[in-house]
Amino acid sequence: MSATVQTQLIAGLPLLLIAAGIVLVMLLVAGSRNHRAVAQLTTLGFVLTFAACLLPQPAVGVTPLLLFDDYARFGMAIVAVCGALTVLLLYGYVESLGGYREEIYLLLLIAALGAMTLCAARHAASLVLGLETLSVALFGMIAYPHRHTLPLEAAIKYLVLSAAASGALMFGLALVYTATGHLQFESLHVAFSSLSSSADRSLAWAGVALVWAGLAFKLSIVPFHLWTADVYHGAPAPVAGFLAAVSKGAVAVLLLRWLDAAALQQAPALAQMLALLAVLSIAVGNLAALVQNNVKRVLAYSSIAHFGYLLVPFLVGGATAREAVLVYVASYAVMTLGSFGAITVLSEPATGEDADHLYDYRGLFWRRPLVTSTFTPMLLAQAGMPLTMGFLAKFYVLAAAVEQQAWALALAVVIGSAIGLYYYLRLIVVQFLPRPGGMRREGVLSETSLTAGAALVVLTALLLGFGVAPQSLLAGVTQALSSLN
Amino acid sequence: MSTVPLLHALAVCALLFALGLAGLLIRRGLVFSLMCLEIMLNAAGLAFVVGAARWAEPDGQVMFLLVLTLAAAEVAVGLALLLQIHRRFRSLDHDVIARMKA
Repeated sequence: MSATVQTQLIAGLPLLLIAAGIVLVMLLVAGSRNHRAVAQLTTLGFVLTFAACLLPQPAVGVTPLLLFDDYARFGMAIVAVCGALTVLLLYGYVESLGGYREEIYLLLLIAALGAMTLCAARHAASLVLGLETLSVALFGMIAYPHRHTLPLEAAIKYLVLSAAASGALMFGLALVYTATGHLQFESLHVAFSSLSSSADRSLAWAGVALVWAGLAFKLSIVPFHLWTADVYHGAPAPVAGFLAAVSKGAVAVLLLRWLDAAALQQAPALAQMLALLAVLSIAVGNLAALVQNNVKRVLAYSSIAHFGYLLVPFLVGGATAREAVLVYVASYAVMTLGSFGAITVLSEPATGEDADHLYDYRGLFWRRPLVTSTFTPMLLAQAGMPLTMGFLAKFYVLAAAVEQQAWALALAVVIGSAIGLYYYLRLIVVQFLPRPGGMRREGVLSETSLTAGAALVVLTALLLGFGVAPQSLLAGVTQALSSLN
Repeated sequence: MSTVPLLHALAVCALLFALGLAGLLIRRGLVFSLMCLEIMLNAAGLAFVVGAARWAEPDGQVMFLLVLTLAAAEVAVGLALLLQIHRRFRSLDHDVIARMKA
């Protein structure tokens, strides 16, 4: 084996490990159905993948499609951590769901493989492949409790709208290719600035606008946000958490590699349009969340607002802005997995609906004090409370906007956060209100409650740990960004 | 043999894409939704072929094969979902299935 092939194989280790995990899990399921063994194997796969992402290596391009640099490894590490924690949350959930349990881990691994491909993509082909691998696996994960109607409705809505968005994305990529003749991201950057004829230029920018529309759907930016509330509501709680954390995070990582401020500056009209959409996302997300009585829908609308905030650093540009994007992706993954994790622990999947009504949370502090003590910090972090990762993320977004003197966007973030405080506090306060006839301790200690509890404890530790001492996270972000350009 | 002008070819792609999108918005049946999605994805594939013809490269045609495969995967999962939906709801109409309200 030649030296270059060897370095390429080592660089591609995270993807290879996940792919090997998929095959192994499939064989294991075919041989004998053992839920615990499959869950353990999947967790092992994610842990090994995470370890492989931490190996210090140079940037290695594998074929024209993939580039494994520190930036890709940072994204893949986040995906691996989210995957491992999702397995812990899923274990108890699918155990009580009944029916075939093991295949959801297969789908989870496939979705993670797609997300990791997105993190390392530097070509239109790997972008499309990664995005579709991720989405198609997610359709299956959302519809997994197929005996119930809500997940089916959520899955078909997500499928139809996501496929339409993919269609727009691919059409956009095709227009860009027709105009520039390049499919690789790096050469596209050069080709954009050197387009001579005005017809080609307008063709290329129409293509980029369509690509943004397709990706904005995945990030649930207004006006492509209509699926979010229904899908979060209908999907099983751990799957909704994974969808929010990984599918959106990976797309944001991809966008930063390719379509950041430098590319936007050449089309001021598009940049202005996106700024308007960011402000609208913040406004619509926060205002719609105010009137919801369903906890999953509140989290869905709050995620629309969160990705409005995340769009701000994309638009203003600069070194701080790039750091802000990665810090926000990491923090949002922890906060949203933790919030949906708490819903998972409280849910009884056999009933067909998760514990998502506000009333289910009344008196929770007395009934399930451990769940409340992890759920409350997650919600406070989403509101941007200091000493949590959520504050760090908001701080970076604001710093990036102020540094580039984008006062309007900074103001939108501040006002949005102020409105957000109301509905997060409402969710917290209700957990401490008395519930007539139901103030006794609930919840039993079992293997399944321990695994989900372990995931919640790890997430809370990450949330507070990085909130108090963010140095190691920031060092990772700086190292990841140094390999970009 | 004369070649098809670039603009005409792209106009056909855009028309196909718009037809698919319009069908997706207007038709109420889920099977029709899947067919309209297929039309939209094929419009994207055709646009890749147009690009490949312009630059005389095979890259765009490879992308077309990729689009075709992905569309097939998406529709396969979609049809599996339709079977389940028909079993639970006894209907494939958008309005019957949409029960979640804000």
